[in-house]
Amino acid sequence: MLEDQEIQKILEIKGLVRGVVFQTDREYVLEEKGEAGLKKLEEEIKKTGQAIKYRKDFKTTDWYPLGWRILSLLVIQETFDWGEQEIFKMGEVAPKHSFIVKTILRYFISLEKTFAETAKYWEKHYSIGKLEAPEIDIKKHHLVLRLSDFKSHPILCIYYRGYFKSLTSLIIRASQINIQETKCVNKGDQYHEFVIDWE
Amino acid sequence: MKREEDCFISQQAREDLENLERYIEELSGFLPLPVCTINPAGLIIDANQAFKDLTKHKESYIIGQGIESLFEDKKLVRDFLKRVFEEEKVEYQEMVLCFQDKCDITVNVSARARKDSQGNIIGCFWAIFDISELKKLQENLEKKVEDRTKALEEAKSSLLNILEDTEEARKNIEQERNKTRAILVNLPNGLIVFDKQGRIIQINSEAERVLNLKEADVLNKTISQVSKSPNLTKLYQTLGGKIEWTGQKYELVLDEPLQRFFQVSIAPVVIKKEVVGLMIVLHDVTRGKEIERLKTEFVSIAAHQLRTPLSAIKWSLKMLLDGDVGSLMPEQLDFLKKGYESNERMITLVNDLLNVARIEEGRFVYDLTSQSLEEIIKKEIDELSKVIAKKKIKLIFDKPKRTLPKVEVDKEKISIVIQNLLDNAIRFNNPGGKVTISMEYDKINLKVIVKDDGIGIPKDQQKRIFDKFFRTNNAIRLETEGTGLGLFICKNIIKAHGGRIWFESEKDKGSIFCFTLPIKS
Repeated sequence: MLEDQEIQKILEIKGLVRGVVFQTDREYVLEEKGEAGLKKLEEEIKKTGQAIKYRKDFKTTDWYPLGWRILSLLVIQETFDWGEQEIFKMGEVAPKHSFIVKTILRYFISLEKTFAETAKYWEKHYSIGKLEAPEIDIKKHHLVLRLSDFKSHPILCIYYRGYFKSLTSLIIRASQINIQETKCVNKGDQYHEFVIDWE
Repeated sequence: MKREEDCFISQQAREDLENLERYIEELSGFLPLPVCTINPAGLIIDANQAFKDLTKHKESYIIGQGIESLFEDKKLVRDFLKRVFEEEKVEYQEMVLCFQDKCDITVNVSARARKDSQGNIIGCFWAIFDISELKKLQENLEKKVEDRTKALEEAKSSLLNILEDTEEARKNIEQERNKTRAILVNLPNGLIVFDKQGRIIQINSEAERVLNLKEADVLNKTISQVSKSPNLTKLYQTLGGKIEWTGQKYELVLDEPLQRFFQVSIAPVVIKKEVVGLMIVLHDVTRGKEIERLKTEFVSIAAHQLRTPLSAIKWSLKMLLDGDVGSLMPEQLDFLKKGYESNERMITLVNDLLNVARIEEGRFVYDLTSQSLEEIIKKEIDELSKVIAKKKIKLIFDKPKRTLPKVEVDKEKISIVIQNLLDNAIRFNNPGGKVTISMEYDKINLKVIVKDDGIGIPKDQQKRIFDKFFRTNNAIRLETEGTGLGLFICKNIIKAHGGRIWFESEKDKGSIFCFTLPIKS
């Protein structure tokens, strides 16, 4: 159970996020833990005193505090006793459930275009942070993503690693895709940097 | 602030997007046809509910998978995808869908390429139609057809075998029929075969010749319907105007062109214990008859010629024995007695032969008069008194107490019968044996019974007892003299009088001979 102090600290993190993130959280919990799992999550979230909702009355395009987004992941992790791997997996699965991602992927079929759109999409989904793809080398199977002006919580780094890896896998065919966070704001770096290589 | 405000997506656009998302979700959920969206790399980027249901995979598994991973034949899927991107639309490619390590859902795949606003290929829609049930049905049908075809082939083979066997059997039957026909055609006896309705169904060449007709003229006709053959008509009359199996044998005499004699017999035609017709067999006995007649004629002539000299010898010897020409020495008398007895036997034999000849020639004339059988029996007993005394036989004449009716008989011939029966009872008896002669009568017949306790007749020889010249072995051993004609003559005499003669006998225990004579002629 998260301490009130910790919760307060999280809620103080600046920034907003679209409601779609809670939809993807819901889809994952339902898939892994079923309706009973989702109910349990809702009960735990209620204990935090925050009005985070996972049902259909939640608007995917409305803005919600980034702190709620982080809180959702933390409560999920604690409720089901999941480790980093599970959070990583949540991030991996998220694009697959995301209506917006699917919409992008239907029309943008190259890495450059997809990540260019994704960068635009980031701005429309997060009120803070800037996502860029400074390096895309298809021949070398190498891609670098940079997320700047985004100080949040380490749990999101794990989540995004899964997310970006999955996104890449939805565009290119690769027998193996590796992702590393080579730089992290939570560790004192200027920005988050994710290096993706594939075979 | 600008970024915190919703300046890009207006409230209306947001609502439109949400409505669009809901619409697409509802449509995707409703659509019964499994459909997924594939990017140019062949990765599934979206799938509707029907697709997830069919493949039994979660969305998180399907999205991002290469489309070929869901099918058995990966190469086929890649080639198909290539064709879709080239031809933009391909329909009805059969593939096998896999799920949970099983690849057994046969589907029809149709795909259509997607293009952006510049006309560039950006992926395709991939639709699956589950035809596994149809396939199973088709396979079942094919199996059934295959099984039926196999069964038909086997049946055909069996039928061909049966046909071959039938043909073989037919040939065999044909051969047998030809053989049978050849036998019938070449049969020395005439043969006429009738069906159950009395119609002629077969007549061999000998019958054609005997009856002077052609098979074609009489086939499928009854005898009464055939008018052109006098010989056939005569045959019919001989049979008493009916074709019936009674076991009786008939004699047919045909006079044209030459006189011929036939023994006619009727036998049933039986197939599997069922009488399906009758057949008349005509056995030509003309030659036999002729031989018999010549034989009889010879015997008659010979016997007749012998009679006179035998009579002369008899009287000459009688005179010598009676001393009419002087007395003789005892040895001389003895020789003469033997000569006389031998001559007597010769005379008896000659007489018997003459009687037989007359019987066979139909010249054994019967002079019927009303007679008392009792008197005839008494007379014969008297004549046999010496023989009876010599053998010490006890002879009893068991007369009925009531007066017996008279019978219409030839006295001489009936005397021969009684004399023969009594003679046999005495001669084939042991010394001191017993002979009983009795009489009975009813409204129709008068019956005479001669019973003895002599040597009897062996069972295996009883059938021949009335045959000409037949004598049983035990009779020959007891009495070497004898013609074997006596009972033959008795039978003919009794038969000629309308009576019946029969016997019961057991070897070494004696015999009972009986005959009946009708009281009214």
